[in-house]
Amino acid sequence: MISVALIEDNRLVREGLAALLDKTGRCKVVATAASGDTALLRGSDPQVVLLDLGLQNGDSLRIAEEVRREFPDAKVIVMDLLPVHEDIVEFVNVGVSGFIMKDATLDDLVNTIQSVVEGKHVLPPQMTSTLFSQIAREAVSRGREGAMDAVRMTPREREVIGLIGEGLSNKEIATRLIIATHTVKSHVRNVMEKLALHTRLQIAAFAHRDE
Amino acid sequence: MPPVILVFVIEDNPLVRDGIMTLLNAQPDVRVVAAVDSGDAVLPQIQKTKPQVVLVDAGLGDHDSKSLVEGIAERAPETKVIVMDFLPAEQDVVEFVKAGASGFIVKDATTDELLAAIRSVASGAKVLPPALTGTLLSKIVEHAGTHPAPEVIDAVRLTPHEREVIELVAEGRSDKEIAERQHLAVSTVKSHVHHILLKLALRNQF
Repeated sequence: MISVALIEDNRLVREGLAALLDKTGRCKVVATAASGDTALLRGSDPQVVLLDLGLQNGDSLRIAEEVRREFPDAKVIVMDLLPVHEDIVEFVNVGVSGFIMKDATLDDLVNTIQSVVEGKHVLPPQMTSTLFSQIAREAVSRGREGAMDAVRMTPREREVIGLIGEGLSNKEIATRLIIATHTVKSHVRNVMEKLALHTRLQIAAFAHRDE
Repeated sequence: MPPVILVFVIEDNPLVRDGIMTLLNAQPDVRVVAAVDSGDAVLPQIQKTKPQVVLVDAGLGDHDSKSLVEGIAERAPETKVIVMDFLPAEQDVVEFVKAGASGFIVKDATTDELLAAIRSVASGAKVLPPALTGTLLSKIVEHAGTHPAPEVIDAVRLTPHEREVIELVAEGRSDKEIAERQHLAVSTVKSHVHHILLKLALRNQF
């Protein structure tokens, strides 16, 4: 039986989730609190802390850090974080072990709890199943030299970025650079692709680090 | 054992190209016959290798991906084309379909979605991108009309901070290095990158 502490601001959700987890027979909720009252959890010594950040905005990372300090021996799972990919790295960096999204099932949640107790990291599936994420993971695990080169912008792409920055439309950029509008669009597509890959490579590097 | 689908990949980003090739070759029913970085001189190669499916990056450098699709449809009519795009604009989808494309996938789709698209297209089906209608982006663009109003262009203009950040990304710096250089929190750098992506996606719909 895995002991779980639950930090959740919404009282109904908090009690409901605690009841559901207890009912699975795989976890026991040993303490619950709202994010402002984590002092209530002292002395509960949970194996896993579930932290709902769904209602938080700017300081969710700080809360995660505090929870890590307060419970250095517990694994932390962040729930309901808005799936902004870029944030995941920071949460992993402050020591969060798992992520669970709003549309996850109770089974997903219990399986995630089980996995982090076993020492695994659980990234949200939206993060790990995309083509770019798989490509990034593979590049990092192969220790591929020059993976970062593939996300470096060309001089032409940088020129287009500069003109976008000035507020020119694709058509105006085409006229200015004496190229076709579809070529401008290609450049913009490639810039987006490189930015997205850049982010995935960094996430993959973090995930790889603790394997 | 299902029959093997021969796939030809045209993608200019080496990381994406190698990655797709590795992922596809790991499938028992898919084999990559060639993976090249541009559409130059590719038609004779396609005629020779006779792939069932060609994956074409919609953002092929200075090459016009649409004429390439037309060329494939004309010179290798048995071969189906799937256009890969980071974020398909409805207007572009129509033009690619007219040029002879059978399928369309968002490049940041899941690997399973890519494989499903390849298998469907190889068996003669058409695969259109998930509808854009209803997305926030399409609503904003709709609202702005076909010709973007000046305030829309303003909304997608990059701020000076965003331009500095994208310059450093362009140099290949990590988010952490950028944060140190600009005296910003790493989270701020990441949020700039996020906004830049949104703005670029938005403007590419015009």
